Amino acid sequence: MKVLTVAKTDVPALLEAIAAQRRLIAPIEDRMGTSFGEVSDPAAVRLDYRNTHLSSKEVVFPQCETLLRFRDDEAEDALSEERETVLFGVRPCDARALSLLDRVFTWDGLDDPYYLRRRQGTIVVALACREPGPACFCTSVGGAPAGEAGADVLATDLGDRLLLQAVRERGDALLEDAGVGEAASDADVEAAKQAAESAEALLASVKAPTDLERLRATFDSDVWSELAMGCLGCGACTYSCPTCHCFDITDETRKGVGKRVRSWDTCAFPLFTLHGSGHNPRPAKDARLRQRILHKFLYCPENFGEVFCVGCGRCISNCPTGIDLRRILERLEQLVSAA
Amino acid sequence: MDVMSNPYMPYPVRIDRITVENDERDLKTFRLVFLDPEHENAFDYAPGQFAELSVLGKGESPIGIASSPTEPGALLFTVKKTGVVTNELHNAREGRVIGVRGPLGNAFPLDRMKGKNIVIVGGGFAFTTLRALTTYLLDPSNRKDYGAITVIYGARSPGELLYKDELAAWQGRDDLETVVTVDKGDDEWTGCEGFVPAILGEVAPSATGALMVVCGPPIMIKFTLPVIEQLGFAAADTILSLEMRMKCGIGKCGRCNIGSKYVCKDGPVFTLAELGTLPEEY
Amino acid sequence: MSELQGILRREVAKLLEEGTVDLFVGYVDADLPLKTSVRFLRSPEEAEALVWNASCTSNPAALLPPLFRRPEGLRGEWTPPRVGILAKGCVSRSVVGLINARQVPRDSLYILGIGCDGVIDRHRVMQRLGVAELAEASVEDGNVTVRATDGTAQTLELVEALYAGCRVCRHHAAVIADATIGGEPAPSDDETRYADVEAFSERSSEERWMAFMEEISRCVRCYACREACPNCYCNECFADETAPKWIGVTTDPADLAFFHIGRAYHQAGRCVDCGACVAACPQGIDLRLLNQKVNQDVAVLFGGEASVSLEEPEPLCQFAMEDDQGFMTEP
Repeated sequence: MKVLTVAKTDVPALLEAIAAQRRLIAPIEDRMGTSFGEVSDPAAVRLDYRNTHLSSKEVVFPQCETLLRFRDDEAEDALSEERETVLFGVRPCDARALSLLDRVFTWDGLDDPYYLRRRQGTIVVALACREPGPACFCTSVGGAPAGEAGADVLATDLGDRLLLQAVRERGDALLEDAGVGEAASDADVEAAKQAAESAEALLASVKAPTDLERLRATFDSDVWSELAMGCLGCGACTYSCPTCHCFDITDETRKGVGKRVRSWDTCAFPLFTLHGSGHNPRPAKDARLRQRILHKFLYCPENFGEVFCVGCGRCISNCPTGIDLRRILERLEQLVSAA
Repeated sequence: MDVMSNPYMPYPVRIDRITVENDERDLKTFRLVFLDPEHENAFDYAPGQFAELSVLGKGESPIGIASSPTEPGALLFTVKKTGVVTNELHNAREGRVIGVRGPLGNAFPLDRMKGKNIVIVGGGFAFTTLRALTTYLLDPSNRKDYGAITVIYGARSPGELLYKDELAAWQGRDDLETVVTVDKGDDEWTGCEGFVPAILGEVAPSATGALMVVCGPPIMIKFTLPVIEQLGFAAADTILSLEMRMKCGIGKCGRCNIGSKYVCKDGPVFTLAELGTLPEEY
Repeated sequence: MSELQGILRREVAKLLEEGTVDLFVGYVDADLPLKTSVRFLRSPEEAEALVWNASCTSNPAALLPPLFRRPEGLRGEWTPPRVGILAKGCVSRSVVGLINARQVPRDSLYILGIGCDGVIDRHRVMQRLGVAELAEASVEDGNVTVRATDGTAQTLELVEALYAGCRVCRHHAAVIADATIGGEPAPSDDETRYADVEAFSERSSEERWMAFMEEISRCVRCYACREACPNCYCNECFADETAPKWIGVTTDPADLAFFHIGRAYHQAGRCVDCGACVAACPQGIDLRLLNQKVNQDVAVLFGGEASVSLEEPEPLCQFAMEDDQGFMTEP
């Protein structure tokens, strides 16, 4: 697998080479700070950011996506055209989240063609972190600032140059194809390792509950009521989360012509589980917060062997009332170890 | 992508016949015929499963399949008029083309049921998949594989009973026992009168070598489970079918879970023992 | 600030100790730059965690209505809790609004009024300083100091960092209170109240539409704005209704426009300009402009402002014979 260095001054050329036959999605500056956007001018790409305010899941799981188009009683699918995309500069937490989303969308052989078409067409170039953001805690949930999960290439910023390490075949082919950069030296590889270690050392550690049986036993505890008091029941946490994947399916129609779309949804909304009969298995917000947390830290580990949280901290930064997942996890761990 | 490989694409079906089931006229059975025989072949289902009925422009509704695979040529769905999609279905005429997506979910454990006596208890309009099960068991190709069959079915009043003709036919057969009850009879009613749990207690089928299948509204289930327990049926031998709000039907949209189980994928059929391991959130 | 903070902690501890309230809602540090968390306190010891500073942005009144709804499935007697709330001017107005709308009972509330000098708008800080993220920030001596991702530090005068509504606020002190701590900061000049609305209105109708559509194009329908707003207490929001289906759930421009315009209109004569919606939006959308335009319209057409007194119905909940009726004949 290739390991290259590219001088910072050559990065625009690298990006142009990558974007030549493909769609390039990379972090760009916007009113909010940094977001992922489709890039036509490589000079607009930012590499000096902590993390984007929304995750990169939009690329494979858009906020709204047309499943079918119909006219009267006839429908046809609206699968997107295959178009190779390079997702460049995504943080290892977000890249790892993609590998977690893969598990859901192919679960039990029930493949989701809409997700897969986008995912299979996306080559991921992750950018290792040098400094954690104020709410980051990736190492507490199985991630790392220079983690390779979900990435095809891992890039590390070495100051005046980028180190690019191919992680998978596709990444290798991409670097070959781009034809920019030169073979990395041992010193460069070592420098990247050092950077990774320093970044890890800067991360705060959060004690998250890992004893699944004990965590299951918290289901009937009052702690959920206590933790949910400040919850507004909005979707800010869910929509900024790179592993949250719940969706709604609705039909939009006008005079017989329309489409069936799926759009982001959240278990935090009161209407999420409301039955047609009026019965709601989760009538109050304590049950809904419990669902959100246990889904990520208990049910997904049971179903996939993985915690569905990558420690990106966006839910913490974006919660309007300042609910902090780190404090929730610590409180649960407290409860669980006292049991 | 062809419709059979895309789990979000419904198969087009024609409404062949609509039967009003009850006096209140809010329950209708739709007989649906596939437009493409290949789709019918692909729709390989078993009693207990459900499908998403699709009305383009309105949405989808998860409905238990009321027909048995031993009744080829069409699918039967009994739909209650509740919301946007079901309202549209109720306003539809014979001949209209709608969609069916499925089969979804798990089926009743037919293999496990072989050689056993089967007690089938249903209430209200939850009887739909129980009709599928009973019809399947009674089919000549299947009947000998199963023991004694007892069906206990109740509704609020005689007018609210589903599948009245079928019930009458079953009562005329000697290869199953059919007990039909109503909460309150009318002048013409000559059958049982009493709530399903009470009637079950009176019929008192033996739990030895038997499995219990029960479907009904939450209130009926609540009062029937203690009777089932008293009769000696173990939790692992008591089989239920759950309802949940659903959208994708394939375990992706995250809506129908109870703990780590998804009602659309790991259910809707669960044993009472399995439910006991899940959080009480349904 | 810190002296006032000390008084606050003592007062709340006392309220909880003496059982005047069962629950007190205020702000605590959030372990993130320029952010606080809303916290519900039950015991006097917890009062030590309370803070009062320029990062106390959200409006805790939004969390009041659920406290006064009978818990589902509960049988027998239930008495609503006695809830204390730390109320700066806008928060106290929200409480008035909720009482007027019969969403919370006055008798069950203990309103602790506090004078407010304004709160910081984090998005504004980032924009003004041209920083993409707040890696580290602090407020000292009337300045906001921010360290950007590249390590460089920049400063912004606190006054410049304040939420736009705070800079024209006329109700720094609580309009209703059971007790008050801190002084009573002077209201700002009314002249400039709708300055930005007016500036925006000078532009051509096409420019305004384009600017509005561009601003809301980032919306992801998370409804943080709606849930953060104390006025959005409806059991069923128009945006969620399916029969009739007023709008779709997607980010189609038509859906976005309908949602935001609809919400702004529903706020007419009720919005207290607390900025909770702006602070809540994870996409940093400027939600204030439209809400203030509608507020201005109400002020001009009917006089009055939202939620200043329990004796005075909201502007659109009353009518006077002198009210402008031109809309009927000259729309």
